[in-house]
Amino acid sequence: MGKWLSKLFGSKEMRILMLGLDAAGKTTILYKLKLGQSVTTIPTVGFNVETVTYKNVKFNVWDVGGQDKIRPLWRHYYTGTQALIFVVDCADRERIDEARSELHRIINDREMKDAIILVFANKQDMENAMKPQDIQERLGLIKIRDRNWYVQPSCAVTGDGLYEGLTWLTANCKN
Amino acid sequence: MSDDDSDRDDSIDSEQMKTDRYGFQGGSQLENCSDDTVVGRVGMRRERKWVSMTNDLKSWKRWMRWRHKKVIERCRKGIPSSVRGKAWQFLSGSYEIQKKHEGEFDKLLSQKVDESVMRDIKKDIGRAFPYHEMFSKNGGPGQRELLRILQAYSVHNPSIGYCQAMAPIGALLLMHMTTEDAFWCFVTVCEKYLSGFFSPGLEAIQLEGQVFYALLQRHAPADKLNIEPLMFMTEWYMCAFARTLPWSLVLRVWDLLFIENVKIIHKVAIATIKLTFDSKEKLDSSSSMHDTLRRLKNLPAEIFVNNALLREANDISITDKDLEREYKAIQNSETTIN
Repeated sequence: MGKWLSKLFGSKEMRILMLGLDAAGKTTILYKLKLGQSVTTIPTVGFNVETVTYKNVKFNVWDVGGQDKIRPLWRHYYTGTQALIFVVDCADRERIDEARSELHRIINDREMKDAIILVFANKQDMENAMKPQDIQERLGLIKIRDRNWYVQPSCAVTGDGLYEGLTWLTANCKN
Repeated sequence: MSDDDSDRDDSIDSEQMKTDRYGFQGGSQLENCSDDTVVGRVGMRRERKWVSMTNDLKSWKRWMRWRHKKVIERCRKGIPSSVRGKAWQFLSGSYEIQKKHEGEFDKLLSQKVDESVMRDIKKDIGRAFPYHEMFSKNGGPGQRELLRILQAYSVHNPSIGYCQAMAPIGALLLMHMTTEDAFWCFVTVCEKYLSGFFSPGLEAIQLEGQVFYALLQRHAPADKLNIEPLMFMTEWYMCAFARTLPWSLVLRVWDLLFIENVKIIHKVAIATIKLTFDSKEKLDSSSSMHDTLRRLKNLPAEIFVNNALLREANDISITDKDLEREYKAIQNSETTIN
């Protein structure tokens, strides 16, 4: 009944999984969206989860720790994910290839085959940050034709680009 | 004139910054309710007992050999904060290990560190406890000492290097002992108590997850959690609750970790589930996976009132034999599948 009603009135719910290398800014993004302010974060060893409502859509956002040692945990959160938010630290040129291989590992998993892909090209405020076009290329997204993906430049601390990302998600998520 | 103004501003700031008795100035682990720390005559009596037990290694060994149950009982009541550091070193055996490896800590620090490991450590050092007076200042003494511990350990055990769960543990130990003492205690934590938890692949944690699930079914049969334990237990186990509970409780759990090993982590985990979903109504209201996990991420404050969580945990009986049985059962089921 509840579901039927919400369908009638057009309020959607969306399950989002947010991943990326450690210190990319995932937790900062989550709390910037939730609280509207930049908070001091600590490294996420497990997960964080918050619900963010924007333009009549309820986003259940899961943020899972990104250090290599705890990445085996990621797959336990795949089931039911409608959209992947992959966060990249654009100032971290050294690890962009590592980010690329992790991204491909995630999206090639069977459980994630229907998820749409939003990349936050984060830390755009940093001097020397790679531009969204570079990121597209370095992540090997351009060759991917059978998936719906989008790269959104962002700065988690100021919030720049975050809501544009959510808008893309609402417009592109099949529900 | 402007100098005077800024001086005055500083002093007002530091006055306004409240620090709790554990050194926290903010964040989710700032003390916001009275805990059960025993003061007065009982507290003093306990302190005297612990001072006498930990007076020297010889008398400590006598206690451990002949009155082990009494020591456990005293750990359950909580170790007085004035002797906690020394007691942890005795309980863990790090005191003796350190004696046998004199000069080793400095030697480890003089050796070359893997560059990517060092980069990871440095990235996290300011984020370990940003709201604790000892670790909040960038480049301050607390952060420098923590860096030394993590750096030395990554050389001591290069197969593990550095794992993010290690920073809060190193910091917790540094709040109670000197850098070198904390390092050796840290070594015992990584190798004896949370053994394998930081190894690549997370296999040990996945195994503990299966054991935890089996124990949960046995001790809290009404609470059938239909979610994969690995989704919420990682931080609990890898940090031995140092990131999860109010600080007074973290210390009490650690008092027991050093004598009960991983059993206390299982007990506290089971007690947490039991108390968080203690009635039928609460279970129903958390029927979706999302709600269940959100509840476990924001534990209800009432489970800490009057020390309820720790009392519940201590009422749960888990023996080494129980653990062995579970490990065996898991091994057997895996070989049948293969």
